[in-house]
Amino acid sequence: MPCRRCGEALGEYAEAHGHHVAAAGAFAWVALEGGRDGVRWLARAALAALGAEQADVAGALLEEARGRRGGESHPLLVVAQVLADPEHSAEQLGEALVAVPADSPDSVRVRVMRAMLHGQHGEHDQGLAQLDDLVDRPLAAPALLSAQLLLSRAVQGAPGVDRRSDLERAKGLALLARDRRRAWSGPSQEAVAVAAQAALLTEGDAGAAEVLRLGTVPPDGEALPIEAADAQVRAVVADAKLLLGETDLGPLPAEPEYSAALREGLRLTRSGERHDLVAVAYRRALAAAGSAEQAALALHGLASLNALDDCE
Amino acid sequence: MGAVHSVAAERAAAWRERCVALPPPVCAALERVGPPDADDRLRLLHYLDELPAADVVEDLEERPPTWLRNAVPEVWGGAG
Repeated sequence: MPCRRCGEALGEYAEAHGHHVAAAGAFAWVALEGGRDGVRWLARAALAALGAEQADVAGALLEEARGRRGGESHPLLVVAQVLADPEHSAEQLGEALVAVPADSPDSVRVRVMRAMLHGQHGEHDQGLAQLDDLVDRPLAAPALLSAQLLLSRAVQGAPGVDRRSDLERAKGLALLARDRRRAWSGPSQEAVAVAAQAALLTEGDAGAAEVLRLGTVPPDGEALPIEAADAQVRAVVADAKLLLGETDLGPLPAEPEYSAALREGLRLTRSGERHDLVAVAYRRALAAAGSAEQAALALHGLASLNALDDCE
Repeated sequence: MGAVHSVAAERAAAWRERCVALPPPVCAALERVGPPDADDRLRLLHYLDELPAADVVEDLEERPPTWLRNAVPEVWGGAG
């Protein structure tokens, strides 16, 4: 029978690679092995089960934890219980996360969750403040999340924000996260996608060339095969090729109707196709737009063709 | 005395090198493994070394170690 710490290590290994089912099993085993921190490991197991969308398993683990001494009030268990409730509000989750002490072994995880919560509500500055002193630690998640928040803040273009500086910092932090994950063969493709998006928005054609370097395998680029094969990375690389005037984008990954239609409109424009054909693609994008920003981009495409007349 | 220090320093350096090739929380957990369980730690490291990362996690989901599968059957649908 392996040692208890080995079970913890195995669970952390599975979770780091995004396999929540295996992580839930390992953490639950650690809790069942005994020890005074069993409630914490049951909470970790429940959080992993929720990550695997196994609500029933999470519920059983939470019930086991509540029956243990100190179970009702354990801060991480409270967080897991809030997340297990499909009707939970952002305020409830925020309160539960704030209640986890700073000296808890889960403090880094909780601060990352708080930063994510801020990010979901467009509170980029608060999210970044949560991660400020964590990015210097040899961890990938705080650096990657900081990069995503900076990228999002730059795209939204909030007043008083230095967009160029945000994009540069986003790219640097994403590459830091990429290298940290590469060190243990982790999922570095998420970080490459963020770095490539930041590069694409930063410097026009030079940025597009950098995207090709980041997103393609040697000898043309520096990506690992798993990074170059990632759907998000491939989509950004396709955008960069369009910016550089290439119209043969090769096979593209399946993606939402809006993105596919908008890219098709751009590609047809670059190819000098007839306006009525290009307009069809932009109208498809307009119909599939999920936000005012997306609709504005599609309308901009139609306006460039003088094809706005039949759009309400 | 110097030789003992040298061996200890070499082992520590080898462990640090091994650790940076693991996700930081895994390294931290393994560093807390005490001497009575050192053999288990070596077995686990051997298991992680044997397979590429993607295969290890697939292995954990498809064929979790018996001790894990038996302890938490509900996670794996009662297999075991």
